[in-house]
Amino acid sequence: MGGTVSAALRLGTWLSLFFRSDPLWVQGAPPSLEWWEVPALSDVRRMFDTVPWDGIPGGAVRVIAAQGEYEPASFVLRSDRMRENVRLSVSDLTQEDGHRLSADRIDLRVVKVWYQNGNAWHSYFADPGSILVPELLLHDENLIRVDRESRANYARLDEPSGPRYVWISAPRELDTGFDPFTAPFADASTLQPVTLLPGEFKQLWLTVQIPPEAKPGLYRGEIVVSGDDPLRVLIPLLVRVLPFELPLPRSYFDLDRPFLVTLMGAWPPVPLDHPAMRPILRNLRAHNVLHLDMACRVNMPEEEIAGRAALVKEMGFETRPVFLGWLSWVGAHDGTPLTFDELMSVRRETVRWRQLCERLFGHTEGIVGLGDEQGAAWVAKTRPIWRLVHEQGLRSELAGHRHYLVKAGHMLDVYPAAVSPSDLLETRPWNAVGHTWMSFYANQHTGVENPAFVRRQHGLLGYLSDFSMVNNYEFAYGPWNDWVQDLYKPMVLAYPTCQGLVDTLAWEGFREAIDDIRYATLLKTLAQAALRSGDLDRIYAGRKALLWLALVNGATADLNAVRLEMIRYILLLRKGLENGG
Amino acid sequence: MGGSVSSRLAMVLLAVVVAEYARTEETSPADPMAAVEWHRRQAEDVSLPARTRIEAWSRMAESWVRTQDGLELHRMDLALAEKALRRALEVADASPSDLADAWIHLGRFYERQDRFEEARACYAKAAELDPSPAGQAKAARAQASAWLAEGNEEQARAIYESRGFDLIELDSKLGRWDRVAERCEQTVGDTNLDIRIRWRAFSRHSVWNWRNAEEETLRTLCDRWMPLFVQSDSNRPLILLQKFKNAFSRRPTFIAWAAPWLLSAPDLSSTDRDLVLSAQFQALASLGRVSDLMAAAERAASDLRASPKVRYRARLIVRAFSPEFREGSASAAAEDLAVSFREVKLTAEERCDAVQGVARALLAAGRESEARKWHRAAEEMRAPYPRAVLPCVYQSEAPRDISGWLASPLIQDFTRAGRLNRPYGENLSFLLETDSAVTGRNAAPKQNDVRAGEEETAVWAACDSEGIWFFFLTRHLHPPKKMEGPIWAGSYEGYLTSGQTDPYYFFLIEIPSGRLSSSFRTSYRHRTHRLVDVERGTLRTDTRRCGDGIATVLFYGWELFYDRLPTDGGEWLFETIRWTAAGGVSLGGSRSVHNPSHWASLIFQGLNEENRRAIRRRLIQKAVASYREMRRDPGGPVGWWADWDLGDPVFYNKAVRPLVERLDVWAEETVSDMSDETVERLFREAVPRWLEFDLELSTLREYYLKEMWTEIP
Repeated sequence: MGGTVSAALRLGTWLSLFFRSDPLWVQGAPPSLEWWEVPALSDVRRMFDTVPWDGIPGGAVRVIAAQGEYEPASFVLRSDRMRENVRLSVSDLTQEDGHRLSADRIDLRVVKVWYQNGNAWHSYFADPGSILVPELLLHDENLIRVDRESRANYARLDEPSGPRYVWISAPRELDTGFDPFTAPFADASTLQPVTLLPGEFKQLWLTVQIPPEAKPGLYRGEIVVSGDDPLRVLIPLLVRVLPFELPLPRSYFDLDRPFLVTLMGAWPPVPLDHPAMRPILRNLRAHNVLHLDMACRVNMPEEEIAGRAALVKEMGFETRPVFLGWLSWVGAHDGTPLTFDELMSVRRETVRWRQLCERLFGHTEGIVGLGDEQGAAWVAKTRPIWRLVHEQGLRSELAGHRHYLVKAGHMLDVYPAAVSPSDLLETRPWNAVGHTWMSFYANQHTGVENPAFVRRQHGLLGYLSDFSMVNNYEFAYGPWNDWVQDLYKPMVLAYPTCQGLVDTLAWEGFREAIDDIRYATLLKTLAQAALRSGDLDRIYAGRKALLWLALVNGATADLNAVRLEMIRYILLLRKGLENGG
Repeated sequence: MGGSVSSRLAMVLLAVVVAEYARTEETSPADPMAAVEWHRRQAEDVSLPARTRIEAWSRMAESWVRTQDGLELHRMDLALAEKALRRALEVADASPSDLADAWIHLGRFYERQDRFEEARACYAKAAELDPSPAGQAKAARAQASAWLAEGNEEQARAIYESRGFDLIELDSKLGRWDRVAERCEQTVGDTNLDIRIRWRAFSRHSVWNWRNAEEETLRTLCDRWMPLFVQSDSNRPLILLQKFKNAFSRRPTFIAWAAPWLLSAPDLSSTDRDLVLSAQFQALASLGRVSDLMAAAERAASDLRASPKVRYRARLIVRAFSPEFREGSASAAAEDLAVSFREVKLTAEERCDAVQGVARALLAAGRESEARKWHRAAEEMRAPYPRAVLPCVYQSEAPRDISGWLASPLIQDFTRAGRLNRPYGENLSFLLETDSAVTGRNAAPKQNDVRAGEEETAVWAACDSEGIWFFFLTRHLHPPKKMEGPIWAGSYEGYLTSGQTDPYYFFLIEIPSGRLSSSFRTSYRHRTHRLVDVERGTLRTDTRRCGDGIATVLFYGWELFYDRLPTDGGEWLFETIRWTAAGGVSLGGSRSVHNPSHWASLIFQGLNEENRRAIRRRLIQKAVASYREMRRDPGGPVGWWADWDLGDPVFYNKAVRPLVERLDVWAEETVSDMSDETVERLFREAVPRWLEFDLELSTLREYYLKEMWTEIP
């Protein structure tokens, strides 16, 4: 393996860097400004006073990513004095042979710390308390003003008469509503100058988008921190582009089975021609929402359904299968048998869905949902409806509890299950029957701001527990006020504005979760190819990779290390493929 | 005489008609097969009029259809239903119009099965049989309905137009709202028509359809025509109520415009009046129309048709928004005006809601600081529970099991007990319906005669060098009489955290089985958080019946908190909720689940330096055992990386071996008589690395690989 020995030699440097307390300065940097490279996806809640004990003081910011991949990185700054108007930018990155990665591919943002309810970082339940938590990824840190004295968040509305701040963290009884889609409220498109308060840590975030056609290899550049004092600090930025693209995810237990990735409620609640519609959809797709639920009803105007379908295709979502929407409700919520007329109305509707699916997507693999968390009697009595769905070649969907296995295990095609992502015993019988896509939801729902938690839940933990889908509840479009609901907090992964979405740490964690599965899929695909090669060395190499993956504990493994180890196995297996011809 | 005979005859005839009516309208059996026979008897009873028998055959057919309920559609057999409908066509003495109806019944039967051509043939037959205007109209409507059901709008429209049927009705069915609007406005604007016809058209305009949300169109229509319509009926503005409540409930411009219309309707119910007034205040405030708000509030304050709480709120608004009040006391104003409200005594909840309403209006008007003041006043009126306190006393050896606890003097000291006597909040029904993450609470909203006061529950806490112990004791005051399978005794739900910004541990213990659920995780394992492990004993529980109650013990090991051991007087957070068939009672007063703001303070006592050292000493033993186990494991971090084939010997030699050598040296120091200095040093330097040994290596591995792929040549 190239570079192993020298890497090991440098490991000692890493270890000493890890434990040293004084920073490593790049020439020309004043000692009053420090930085640390820190893991982007970490359980550490980085606050104004959180020393980056898990970071590398003065370390280079390093990114390792596949072609076509989005990958995050992060660093923390601290100044010993007040510095306003601090500007950060990224240079173009270049290889030794001159190949360039444009700075446009790197999105630099501030991690905004603001108030969220008393369960922030840990659960999706409501609470009247308020605590500070890092969450938002902003280009303009002043879009949200945080008042630490009154413990309040304010949103800046850029009105024609001038900016106005509105209180967006009022208690539930007081909240008067804030519509981010219509208010003049949007983030800047690039990072604006930031303020560094004396002695306080501020976290910055990069998301690097590697073009699919990028030449593999190491690119070098820097993050330039400049200011008025004068201030000029150059933080090294290193990006390794891997020599492969990531495939769409497939199930761990069956490489022939696509792994569906969607989120409940993700269709934007705005008209098709709203300025935020396309940016939101683009954002969803870039964050690995691969199968977007169109949330249609059959009695919607046809131009609306067709419009949604066109957007799904235009924005690059997967369309086979495709989440169409919902069947109209018929009958009672209990086990009261369905009547002839009720089933006839269902048949008419399923015929219409099939026609729409064929016309819009060229196939009948459309998924239609009916009901939510229904009782056992209802599930049993609904079987005639699912038969009608299947007669049209469509797929059935219902979220809920364990009794579905013994009442509809032979008929449910898409099953978000109210179980935990570690529940391997739950998935086995469904996978034994073999036709159902199964995900977890509720344990936990979305809403937790911790990106490492979101990554694990939606990524390798569920994947290695033989789930074949991510379909959690939910992708809520706000509200921005964390206190407006009684039992649950708003389950927001990214916050809406009139021009799109403000990303969050958790949303980056979600994307990385699915990327973890995509890496694992590539590893398994290459390993299977190795097993079929007939060459004993390659066969062993394939088995070793599979053995290593099988030993990964999805609940406890360090996912940053797991990712890199997957890359190592992928490179080894690819090398074996290339050498084997 | 003649008059008397004729009146008696009339009475007899009337009696016969009534009896006949009673016989035919007698309720058929609920069971479909029984209903089939019931209707058959009627249908074959030749003493009944033909029309009645035709209806009976039709109902029999419907009953036959109902016998198929629950089957899959392709298994439903409607042949007998069709046979019954065809029998109706053979009723001997039926009039042409009766027979026409029989054909229409058959046609509708075919239409329900999407057999449209056959349906239309039946309707054509009906038209043939009954040439009367009513008969022709009925048949034509049925034809149009069949065309529409088949999706043929053109044919349906042709029938409507040729027959002069209501095209508004057709366009509404088709969702052609622009045409509906056009036709309605034409009718409304036709001054030659009766006002009632014009009103009917107005009320059928597309703006009223639930799918349409065009506020501007609706307002323009109403502004133009409502003044005319209220002249003949002042309740006509009530047509606005549904839109007010649903479609435009969050649009202040609409609310402010519509409220006066609605308030002018004499038949506006008192509940709706309150709703409209409250919404009006809020809307006017958010639009910045303070003088209009004051005027509306002043009117409402003396409007006896409004409820006392709304009138009270109106008076508060007048006070709060008056220019001279800005710096005044919200609490004093609320109290003062409540006292002056003599005619009805307001409940505390109503007063609190009204004060919150004022706060909301002030905030909508952009007066944030005043809104906060009134909100604070409302919160003070709620008189929340003071934070509950549960002492956790260090013991050299705490009771380790239920028997130990029951025999312990600790539970004789009720000053150290936490009482679960604060009722859970108001969202229990919604919680049970929607919280998929956790089932097994075995709770129900308060119901029947079972009250939470039928039992009492107390909890005690203690700690020792092993960890933290909780002991729950529930005593039934009246043992439940009803047994449904296992005795339903509910559960304990609870949470434990070392600080408000730390992850919390969740538990749910079913009673009396003792089944434990801890699967709701608020974090996964990382450097500063450990998962509970029942197998390794960091979380333990036991439950059993004892005498007149149920006892439960719950234990958390210090390994979970080694990096944040409490100090003497240190405060953690703990809450537990006792769920029963009567709802929930809690220690801290949780208004909702997973609500850290309402949890009790767990105060550690007796944790002097000596006792803390005893904890550390014990943790050293556990940590080194854990490290040695990982070290020995052939598949563990050492065994794996050292493997020449599966691992990475270079990495092992450069990174793993030095770390292991250091940790092994420390491990050798863990003897039973370690000095205090050794304990402190090993606890500080070795314990984190022993317990997190695998995570340490993962971090090193991560840096190693990153360096390899991003090294600068």
